[in-house]
Amino acid sequence: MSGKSILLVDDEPHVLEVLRVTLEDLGFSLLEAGDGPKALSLAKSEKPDLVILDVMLPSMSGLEVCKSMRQADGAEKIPVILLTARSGEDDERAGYEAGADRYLTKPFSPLTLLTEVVKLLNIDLP
Amino acid sequence: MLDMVLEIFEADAGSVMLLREDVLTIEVCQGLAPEIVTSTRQPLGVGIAGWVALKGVPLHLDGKVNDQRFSELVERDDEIFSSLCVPIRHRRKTLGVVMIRREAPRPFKKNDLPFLESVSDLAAVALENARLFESEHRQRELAQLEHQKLRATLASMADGVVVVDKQGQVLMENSVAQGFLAPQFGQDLGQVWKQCRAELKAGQTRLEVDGRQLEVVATPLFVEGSEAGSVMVLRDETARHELEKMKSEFLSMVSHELKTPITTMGAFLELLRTREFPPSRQQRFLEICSQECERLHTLIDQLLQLSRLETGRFELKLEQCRLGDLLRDCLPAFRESNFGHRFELVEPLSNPELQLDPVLVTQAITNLLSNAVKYSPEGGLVQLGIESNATTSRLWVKDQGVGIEAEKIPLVFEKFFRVDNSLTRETGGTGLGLANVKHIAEAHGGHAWVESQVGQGSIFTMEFPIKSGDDNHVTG
Repeated sequence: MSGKSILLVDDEPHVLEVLRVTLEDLGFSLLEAGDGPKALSLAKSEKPDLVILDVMLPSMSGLEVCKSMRQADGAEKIPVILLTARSGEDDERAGYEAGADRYLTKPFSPLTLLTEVVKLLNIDLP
Repeated sequence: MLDMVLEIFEADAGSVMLLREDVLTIEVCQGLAPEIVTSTRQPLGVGIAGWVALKGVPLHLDGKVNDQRFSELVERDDEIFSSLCVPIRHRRKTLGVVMIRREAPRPFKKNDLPFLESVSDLAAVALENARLFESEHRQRELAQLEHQKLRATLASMADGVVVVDKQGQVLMENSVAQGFLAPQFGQDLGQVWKQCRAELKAGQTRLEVDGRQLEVVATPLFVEGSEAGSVMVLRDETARHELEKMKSEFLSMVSHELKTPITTMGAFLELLRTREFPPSRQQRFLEICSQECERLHTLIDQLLQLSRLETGRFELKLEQCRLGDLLRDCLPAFRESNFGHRFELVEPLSNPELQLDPVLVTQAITNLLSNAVKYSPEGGLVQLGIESNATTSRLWVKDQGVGIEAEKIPLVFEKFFRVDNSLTRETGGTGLGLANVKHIAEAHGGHAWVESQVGQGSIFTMEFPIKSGDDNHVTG
């Protein structure tokens, strides 16, 4: 269908599974990372069409990953959805300032996430 | 002066008496018998001196006192031939009297009285000046004392004080304020006022100077009813600030930790409701939901436990119990639910009788065993032992797991710290177990630590002091 690739980043294996199940069977090829450094390297090497990124990661925060992506050649235009349990105004502002395109708070609805993915990738779903 | 007076008037004896609290006492005298000097206390109105002092009128008496006015007021000495008594007055106030007398039959002349009055007037001025001087001296001493008290108070306060006038010129400051503000404002502490004027008008403001969080409260300075400036009190709030920051970060972490299982459960439940999945997958998702639910439960329990331990609001229910027995009692449950692991008690197992809270210690041991299981591979060996000497007893748990990197070792007992997220998450770890272990060890007066090398596994130890049969309940 679309042949788009999405990079999923979260340090919680179960949350990764949720994301995977939400986006499966829709023609996306899915990449996964459990920490910042791996996410960054995959973003740079695989250049996915979208990144879904958790903010609270162990060593490198999602915000740092986002900022680094914006400064990396080839990765700077990749749309990013930030996923986080932090819901404060300051946190949201910080997210957008780091270069995110969307800021979703946890707990999130898989349907809502899907809607955002579709919007950002500019595609239609069957 | 009296000598001079006696000489001038050719008198044989005389005295200057001063009036204090309506009683005349001899201040200086000449030619009087010592007993008279010490005993003479003429109340106002009594005797010649008393009468003169009361009426403020000079008196010239010759010979025995026959005058009606004095019939009751008679001086003792009958040999006085002639005497003059003059009030010492200054500005209509009687300060005392001057009395002079002649014993030989040489009466004072009529002019002698007014002359003595003039002398008395001069004496009055001198006396009054002396009094003023003394009063002023005393006042100055009092003022100095007050000043010293104020300085001592200002210097001993924990807070800084800066008083400025309306232009921001410093009227008073203490060393604490200097200590706080000098790094940024130098010698002129009035700069603080000038810089923060607007906020201070509203009452208070926060300043950060030289790494200190200062709270500044300003109140208007009133001098004789009108506003003359401002009094600023500076308090070092750094510690409280740090504490608030820590609390805020902790809450943030807790919130995140609690939301994570909820996120997973909520998302899977929505997926199950809105999509078709084969039964095996449905089962899997529901299983995950159960696990997350369990994890949430454990998290909440451990948080409560941690909170109690940290705020010290708990009572250690100490009993005489055997550490080895507590350890042995934990094992069956672990053996049953962890077939993949072997648990071995290393003999000889010391089994000292200690004052312990069995519930808390059992929980600590359980946490250590959980950790060991989580971090050792399937089929791994978990060894347990207790060693004691005269003063301490050590319980240790050794695993053959992945070990901990050197720089992470100090962090291992921190709240929410997880060495390897994926392993811990899968097995429902909360990152709080070891924090609780440490608290429990310390509540008993002992401590906990870990020795570990990457790839070589880890040994976690809890040490308890052996007390000499103390039976008291300890409030942590």
